[in-house]
Parts: sequence; C-alpha cells; structure tokens
Amino acid sequence: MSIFKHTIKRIFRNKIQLIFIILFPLAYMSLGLIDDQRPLKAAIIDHDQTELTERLIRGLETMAEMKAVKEEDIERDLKALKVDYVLVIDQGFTEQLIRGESGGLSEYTVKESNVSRPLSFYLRQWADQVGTIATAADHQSDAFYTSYKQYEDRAPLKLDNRPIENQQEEKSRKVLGFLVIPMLYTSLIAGLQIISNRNNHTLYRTLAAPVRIRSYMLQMIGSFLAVALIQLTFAMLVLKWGYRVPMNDSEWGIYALLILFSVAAVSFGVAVSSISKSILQACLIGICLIEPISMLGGAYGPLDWAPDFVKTISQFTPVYWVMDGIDQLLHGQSLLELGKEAVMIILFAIIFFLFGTIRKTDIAK
Amino acid sequence: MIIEVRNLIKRYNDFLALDHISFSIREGEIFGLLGPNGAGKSTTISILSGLTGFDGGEVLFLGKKIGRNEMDSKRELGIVPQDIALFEDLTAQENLDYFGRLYGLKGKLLKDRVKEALAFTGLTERRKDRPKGFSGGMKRRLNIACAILHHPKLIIMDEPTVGIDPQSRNHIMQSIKELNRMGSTIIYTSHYMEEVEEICTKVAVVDRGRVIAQGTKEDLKSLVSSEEKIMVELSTVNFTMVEGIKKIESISECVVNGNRLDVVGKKGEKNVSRIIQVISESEADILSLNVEKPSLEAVFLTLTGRSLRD
Ligand SMILES: Nc1ncnc2c1ncn2[C@@H]1O[C@H](COP(=O)(O)OP(=O)(O)OP(=O)(O)O)[C@@H](O)[C@H]1O
Ligand SMILES: [Mg+2]
Repeated sequence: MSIFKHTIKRIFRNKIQLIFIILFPLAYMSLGLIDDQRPLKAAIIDHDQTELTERLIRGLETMAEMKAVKEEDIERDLKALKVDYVLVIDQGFTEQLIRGESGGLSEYTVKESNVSRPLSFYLRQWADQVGTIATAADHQSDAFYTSYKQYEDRAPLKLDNRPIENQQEEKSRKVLGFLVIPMLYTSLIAGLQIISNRNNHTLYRTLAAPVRIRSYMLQMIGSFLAVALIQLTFAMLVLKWGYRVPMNDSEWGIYALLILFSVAAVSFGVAVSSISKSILQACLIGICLIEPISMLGGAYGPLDWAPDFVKTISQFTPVYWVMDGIDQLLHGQSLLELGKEAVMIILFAIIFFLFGTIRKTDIAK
Repeated sequence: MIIEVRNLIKRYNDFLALDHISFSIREGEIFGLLGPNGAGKSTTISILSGLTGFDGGEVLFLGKKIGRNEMDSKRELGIVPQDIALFEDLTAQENLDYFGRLYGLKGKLLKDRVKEALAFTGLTERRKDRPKGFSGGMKRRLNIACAILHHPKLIIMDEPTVGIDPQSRNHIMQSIKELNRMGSTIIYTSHYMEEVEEICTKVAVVDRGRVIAQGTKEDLKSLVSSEEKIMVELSTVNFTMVEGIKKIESISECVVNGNRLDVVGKKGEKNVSRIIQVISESEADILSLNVEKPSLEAVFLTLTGRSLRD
C-alpha cells in the first residue's frame, strides 16, 4: 500500500498538476455551457398566396427569423448559411389540401444540420391537423375555413413542447460530453507518473525490492483512480450546484456511469504510457488519440449527421458508450437499464489495462 | 558462499552481453567487479537482483537457485543502482521512508532505520530537503542510504561514485568499509582502479561479457609481473654500496640516478630488508624508500592490450 499512498501524496504535492486536475474539467465544461444556438433563419417562397398559407407563414414566423430568398438562389444561400431552412409552397397547395391530397410543399435544408428540425416538425404537425380538419369539413372550402378558424382560436397550433425539452437535454449532454473529454486528458497524468518513475529509475529500485510488478501497477492505477474520483466528484458538484445543469433527476446514475468511465480513462492513460518513452511522447500520442476518440464517440455532439460506417466505428470507442449511457439517463432511463453500456465500458477498461501492463517483461533498462 | 554465479549467459537479441560469467563470493568479502564501459557489469547486477532474466547458467544466492523476481532473495539484497534512483519531489527522509516500507519496515523500526541511514551517509541535516537541490555527491549518498535501510546481507553497488567530488568519494569509501565491518557482504562495481584497489578484497575483471581474471588483488598483480621496483633516496651514494646491492641474489638491476638508486628485483624476496642491510653498512643515510607495485590498471592493460578507461 505504500506505493499507493506515496503516489497520491506526490500528485497532491504538485500544485500545478493538482490545479490542472481539478480546474481543467470545470473550465472545459464551461465551454459547453456557451449557447451556440444562433437564431434560426428561414425563408418561405409562397406561390399559392392563400389565407391558409398566410396563416402557416405566420405560425412559422414565431419560430424563426424570416429572410427573403429567390428560388434560384436557394442552394447557394443554404450553403452560405444565409438561411437554414427554405419552404417552397406550390401554387394550388391549399386547394389540394382541402381536397385531401398531399404534396405541394418542398423543404430545403443543409443536409448535415439539424438546427431546422423544429420547423419541419411544426410543418408536419400542422399539415396533419389541417388534413384532419379538411376531412372533417368534407373537403368543402367554406366549411374548412370555418372549422380551421375555430380550431385556431380554440387551440392554436403551438409546437409540441417535446423538441424544446429535447433541446435542454441536448444542452446537458453537451456539458457532460465536455466533462468526459477532460477526464481523458487528465488520465494521461496517470501515464506520465508511470513514465517518470521509469525514467528517474525509481521503478528499477522499487522492483529490486520485494514488490511484484503487478502489485506496483495496481497500486499506481488505484492511486490515480482515487484522484479521478475526487476530480469527478468535484466536477459533478459544480455541474449541479454551480452551473446548474439540469440532469433530469439522473445525477446519481450519471455519477455512477462516469465513475465506471474513469476506470476506463485511467487504464487508457496507463496504456498510452506503455507505448511512450518520454513524457512529451505520451502527451503527443495522448492528444492524437483523445481528439478522434472524443469526436467519434460523440462527446463533442451527437453523430446524427455522420454516415453509417462512422457510426459503426464510433462504437469502438469507450466514449461512445458513456455518451450513449448519459443520453439514456437524461431521457429518464434508469441506471439499471444500462447493462450493455456498463459492460462495454468495463471491457474497454480491461483491454486498456491489459495493454498497459502486459508488455516487455524486462524492466531493467 | 553467499553468492555463486555459474556460466551466466545473457543475450540482447543477437548481442551477447554476458558470455559464461562465473564467480563466487564469500560472506564478508568486498568483491570488486571491474571492467570498462559496456563490459556487462550492470547487466550482471540486474540479473543478481532478479530484475532481468538470463539465457543460460545459474545464480545461487545463499545456496538457493534464484530466477527472475525471487521475492525471498530480494529481501536480503540492497541495490545501489548505477543511475541515481530517487524521487525528486520527495524529501530525503520521505525517499528513505518510501523505500524502507517496500522492504516491510514500519513504525518505530522504520523511523530508527531512516535516522541511522541518514546519519550513516552524513545527510541528517539535509533530511527535510528534496534531492532536487542536492549536489551530485549528496545524491549519490542518498542513493546508497536507500539501499541499506533494511540491513541487507548483500549490498550491490553499481558505480556508486560516478561523477562526484573527492570529499564525497572519500566519505563513500569509508562508509563501504564500515558497512562491511558491520557484517554486510559487498559487491562493488567500478571502472576506477584506485577505488577497487583501495577497498576490495577480491576482484573479478570483466571485459566484453567475460571474466578475464579473478582472485585477490595480489593474485591479479602477480599475473602481470614477477618483479618490483624499489627506489631509495640517500644522502650519498658510493660504489661499494651499489656493488653490494647488485650482489643480492634476487636483484637484477641497480641504477644510480643522482642521489637515488632504482633497484629492480624479484617480488616477495625480502628485497627491501636486504637492501637496507647493505646500505646500513655504509655511511649513507636513507632519506626515503618507495616500493612501486604493479597496478590493476597494468593488469587490465596486459590482459586486454587496452586501457581501462577510453
Ligand atoms: N536493454 C538492453 N538492450 C540491448 N543491449 C543492452 C541492454 N542493456 C545493456 N545492453 C548492452 O550490453 C552490454 C553491457 O552493458 P552493461 O550496462 O551491463 O555494461 P556496464 O559494464 O555496466 O557498462 P558501464 O560501465 O558503461 O555501466 C553493453 O554493450 C550494452 O550496450
Ligand atoms: Mg553499468
């Protein structure tokens, strides 16, 4: 146990390192708090110009900033991000709708972006309900307008609040992703500790004493885990009481999942140390691995936009599983339902651990 | 025998680092392992301390065969690594505390042993300082202190005096003799002849992974030469005296050099007393007398045709 205690002591004694371990995640998470959602910009080209389309436009106006776009410029303006969403209403759309036929609406968005999802969502709901009213009015124009107005007065079509709630969860998810990334970064310190013991020859001396290498590694990893636990606890407290990030009553579940993840993260740091000769090398290798792992795993944001093969690859990162678990917890699942995620994270921890400890058996030089 | 090494072979890939090394050490000896850079000294020590595996031969410690990672033998060994092995961010005392615990020391015993080791290496006053600010000599001393806390039966020192000032070197030399007097057997590795000559009772000379000679210092020196040179400085020199000396059976040469006589004779034949006898029959006073013995350096030069330090 003396290796365990001394390593903790040495980590705590290095003030700069300690500040980094505690404050870096807090600083990183605060980046995730920045609301990067700019106002949604939409354009509507209305070739129908009826009372109904006018009302539709009025509804959409409450959700986005309206821009004027020429039909031939749609593609260009979308690419230049002048608008996020363009709706083209064909002539005769209203008549068609009252007759009970679908069609007549064309939506244009930037493929990779999902910012305009609420608009599409609104449009679909509106079209559904208007279709229902048309059927009820027996496809008679006058009757239709009468019922439609009644309907709008009594129950004006407001966007179902689900997407808004989703937005909140997405924000929380983003901040938590911005905790997972610095956890990986600080895990490198575990590896650096091992490398420095190797390079200052204290490892040689330690193993010349009656100490088994397995016991040495376990004690080293144990001490980093203790430090990681302190780091995580601190971050969660700030998350809840400082940044006030809503976690849908899943704080404990998220905490538990992240504790599990910290085991994988520390093992990752140890694995990096085993392939690095110097501290500089470990840092470089670490950065080169952590960035893609985080991005692929979805810690920087969901991978909805990505092609399928990328989504498949992403499952080969531990970050994917922790983010997947966080997603589910934020959506009200309980921790007990996350068996698969937990198993995958543990699996990664074991793989990294084995990779980090089963290597060259000669430690003499 | 406290340790016996038989036909030890160690390969690093294709490179044969140890080529049938054999030697044995009695309890209570200070055994010198002498050899130039790359001879295989550190490799031998890593094997003895159970840190490195080997490809052939055997090592017996206290009559028991040892392999890699033998915990029982590790407990009885104290290793002073060639490279200083200290935590720069822990104080001298904390370093000792850490390594002492690895050998199972704790509580009052540990405290006492730490105190003892600090006093022994003359670091008591600096015990609260970190080795970061230590001189090379102080670091070397602390490096030794960390290896003796648990009173090991066998202390293995791999070039413990590299790159330090004469004062620290002296201190270390004295400490080693002291440790030996207190009952530890010592293996002392070096490529400094003078050190080995000063403290070791037995020596093995290694070169390119092989033991090229071993025995007592005297054994080794007798390999090189069977003659000794005696220089006598006198108040006056006269012809009868020189002739008298030349007549001594074991003397082969006597050259006058101003007021000095350079005499060469067979070793171990009481040359000195015979020469003094001849001189005392004359009027002359002896101002000084020196016997030049062959050095281990010369031994190495003779055996390999190379000098020990490049
Ligand atoms: N891990 C290793 N891999 C490959 N070769 C090695 C390794 N360790 C040592 N050697 C080689 O084995 C030979 C013996 O090395 P060793 O360190 O034992 O020499 P030494 O006698 O201690 O020399 P020095 O006086 O320089 O310390 C050297 O040629 C060295 O290059
Ligand atoms: Mg060496």
